[in-house]
Amino acid sequence: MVEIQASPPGTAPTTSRLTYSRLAFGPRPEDLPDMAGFDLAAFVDAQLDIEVIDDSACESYVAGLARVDPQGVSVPRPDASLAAIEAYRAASEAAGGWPNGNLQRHLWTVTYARGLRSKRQLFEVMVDFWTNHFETNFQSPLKYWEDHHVIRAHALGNFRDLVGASAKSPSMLHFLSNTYSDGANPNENYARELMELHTMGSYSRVPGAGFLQQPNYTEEDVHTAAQILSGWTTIGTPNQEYRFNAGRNWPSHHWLEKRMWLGNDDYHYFPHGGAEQGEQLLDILAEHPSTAYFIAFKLCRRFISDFPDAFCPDAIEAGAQAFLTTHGDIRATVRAILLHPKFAASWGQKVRRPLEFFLATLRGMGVQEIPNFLPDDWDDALGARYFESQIEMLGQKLFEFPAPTGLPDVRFAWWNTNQLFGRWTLANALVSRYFGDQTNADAAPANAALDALVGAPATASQVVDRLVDHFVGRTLDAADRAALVDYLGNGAAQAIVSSTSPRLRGTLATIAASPYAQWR
Amino acid sequence: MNIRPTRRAFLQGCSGFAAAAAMRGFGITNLLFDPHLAARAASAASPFAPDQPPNARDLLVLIFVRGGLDGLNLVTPFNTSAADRQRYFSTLRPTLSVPAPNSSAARKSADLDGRFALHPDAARGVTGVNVPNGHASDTGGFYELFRRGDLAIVEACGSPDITGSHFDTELYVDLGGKQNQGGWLARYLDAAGEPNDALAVAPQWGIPPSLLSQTGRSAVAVPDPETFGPQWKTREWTAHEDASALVAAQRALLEQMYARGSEFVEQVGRSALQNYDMLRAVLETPYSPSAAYLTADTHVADYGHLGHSLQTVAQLAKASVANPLRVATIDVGGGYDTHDNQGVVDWNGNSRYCRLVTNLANNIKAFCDDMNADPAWRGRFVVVMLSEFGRVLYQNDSGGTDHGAGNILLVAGSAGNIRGGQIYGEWPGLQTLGFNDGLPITTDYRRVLADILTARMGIGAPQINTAIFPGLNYTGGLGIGVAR
Repeated sequence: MVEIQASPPGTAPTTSRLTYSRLAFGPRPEDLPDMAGFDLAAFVDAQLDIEVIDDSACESYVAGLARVDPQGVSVPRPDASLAAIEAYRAASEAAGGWPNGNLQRHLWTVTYARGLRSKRQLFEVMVDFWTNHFETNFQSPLKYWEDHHVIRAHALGNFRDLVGASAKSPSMLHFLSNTYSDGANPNENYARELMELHTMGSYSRVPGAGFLQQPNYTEEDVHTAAQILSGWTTIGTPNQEYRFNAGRNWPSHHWLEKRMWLGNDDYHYFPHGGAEQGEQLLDILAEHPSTAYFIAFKLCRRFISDFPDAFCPDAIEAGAQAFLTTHGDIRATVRAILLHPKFAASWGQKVRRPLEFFLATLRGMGVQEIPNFLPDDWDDALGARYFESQIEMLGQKLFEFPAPTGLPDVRFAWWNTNQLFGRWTLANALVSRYFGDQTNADAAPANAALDALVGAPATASQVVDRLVDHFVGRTLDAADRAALVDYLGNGAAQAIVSSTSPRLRGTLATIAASPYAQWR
Repeated sequence: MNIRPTRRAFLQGCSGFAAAAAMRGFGITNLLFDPHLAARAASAASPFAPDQPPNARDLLVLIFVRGGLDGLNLVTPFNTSAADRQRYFSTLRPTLSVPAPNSSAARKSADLDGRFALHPDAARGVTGVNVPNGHASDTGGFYELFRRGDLAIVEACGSPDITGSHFDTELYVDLGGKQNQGGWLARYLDAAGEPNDALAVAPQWGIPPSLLSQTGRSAVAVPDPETFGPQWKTREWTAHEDASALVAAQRALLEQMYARGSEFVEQVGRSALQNYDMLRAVLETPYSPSAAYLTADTHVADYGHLGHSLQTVAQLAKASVANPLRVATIDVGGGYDTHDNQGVVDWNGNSRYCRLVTNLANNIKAFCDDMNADPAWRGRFVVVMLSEFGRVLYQNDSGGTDHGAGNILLVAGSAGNIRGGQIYGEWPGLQTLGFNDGLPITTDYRRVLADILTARMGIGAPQINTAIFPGLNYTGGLGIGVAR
């Protein structure tokens, strides 16, 4: 049989450390003292209680970010209305700019800033989760609106509200073509992915004889669902707002009686036309048992294991039951999964995705400032545009994944031979940007932030242990620790090290690029 | 649509589509490492690899068109029967049919055998074919390959595991059958007794599931020769030789750390570090292809990914390295999922489909010419091009086509190593709609692959059913591959 139990080299982390790695984008240096006396349930409950977390420092940082694009036009705030986004699009194009790219770049800055600084870490992780689950991209500027008004509005809310908002989200209506669909000969793109990717999954996920064998719908159901959802469009509105096109001539087959099978014993009947029958379809899909199990499966895959069916079927069951009992309450579902014993026992089951690597490295470095991706700063060798190109190499340029699946939560999809080189280069570049350029192999500039991070002056062995604590959070194989100490101290473990030591920056980047720091 | 991603972002996108296939809940445990299989494969592998290409077996290049290619408009059944003619031109594709070879249209298809004809952009450069937007790579495309016997076309091909989902079907094709474990290309390397570090490359951002191994093989992803490998990046000092000394010191430490354990993270890192010097040396050596590849954004919709990738394959193959290239696979994207406005033959209006076809035809032709120019490789390589499914036989109201079923599969060879210039497979006609209202599938794509593997790749027929495609019950192929 295949191997489900994994054993990465080095010791396993504490539950507190595992939690900061999975429910947050890694710990910041100031988080490390909090880990004594850690209580998982208390941590999860506090993180789920987003309304009482004071995140004003992060939000004022975000609000203070410069929003002037390279043509001198101001990008609207992240919570802007569709009208404001449309006004910006027109102004940017009139100025010869590229509005979609500028909006995307500002959303990167905002998203990275929140990942780096927000105290609502679990919320930010869930935003990333749903951003991938309901993947759309900046083919249109409408993604900018969707991030705030759909994903963030419901990330820890109710699933039916979330899928409903997504179904009417102008960005989704365009991304999966539903905006063009008419009832006579509908475009099946959205209807299919709504059932396959957003709700039930293509095969039943309910445990039992039909598990992954029983189809949840027929091809005829896909066609019918597309007819039911025809008329959900943005066409004919001033700012690409959602509307229902009720014209009986356009979505002509929309108004005929429909029935769908949807993997149940009985058929579902849709006797009336109108937007209500689409709402009825969403009700049925959100309440479908396979949806509960599919969402629980995907949450388990985000938080516990790449292979949840094999590793933690009980945690899927716990999540699905919470989902069913609460009719799609996302907090209750997440809580049931995270407090299932399999979560704390899941070391070695997850690897850091590119975004998680980038943010965990920055958080481990203790930095507060994120490069502003909006200005064109190619003249700066370590500017935002350079980091954009490096992040691109890692394969997770946010809001740009081309397939409606989102970037898969499975290591095979992105951990490959390039990834090591990309992460290694990025780690070196981050160290140079934030802690100052090394001028040659023998000299490095004094840097107070770096000295504070490593507790300088300290011995080579103390500094290695401290860096390992920041970026890995567990004990390395003894020979690997010895090799790092030997390198940093140039053969002397007791050598005194500070930011002017020529090998400190390389040691930090090596630890960040090491296999130890890739496990999540 | 005015998004302007770079080529590199697009590379990630193409393989992202393949990566998406890897995540489908159904098959994911099919991709896990299996220590028992690994032990068995290791004991079977010869450390000397006597059968490596180009001497005793061919190089296999698999091109997977992700998104569902509309094969019906690439190889059009313009004259398979009077009834088909009526169906294709009038009923199924009233505004989406490629004009017949004998029509008066300026742009029309190029007759292959009196029954089927190629889209004009698959015959660019052929005398009499109207070619807008000419390019140096217009040397006859698929038409010329077919004419000289180096292209076999299989009609109505597909997977018995087909669903309406790209991601499920792609994964099943990559696994060589939905119940199978690991990727079929990786299982081929096992069955062929190739050493565990045998070079298998995806010249793109990620590794498609066909190369994911249960026995500890790590295929190498090479996305971009210019930026391949680690860099010490500073504002002023990046290129200094002292900086490369620092990278070398880091590398020694990383090699030690990635040497530990048998987990996927460390195993892939090991492979990256082990292959780095060889790949770097090859990729840094200037390469002058012997044929023009097509990478211009004016002609293709994938930012030149396929052209660049095929050139990288040729470059790696021709380099005389100790660990020669065994197999390569490329995922092609750029909008093959043509649900709306796919276009037919018009480069000025809806030109998407023209670009999609031109990209495939000109670049596969260029690769064949480039490889044929090297005597060591002439007659020693096979290119297979497939897609997860074809499209619905009739067009939809958005000027596009939805997910269908049967499709063409192309096999390109060299100097008589395949029996090209023929159209294979049982043509089902256009009177009956198959799964999802697509073309009925009459040939399992694995029969074609098995044919190539047994004729050209050093595989015995029994290994097809026991090791590479369990569940196929292979009893013989279509006779495309010429036995060595």
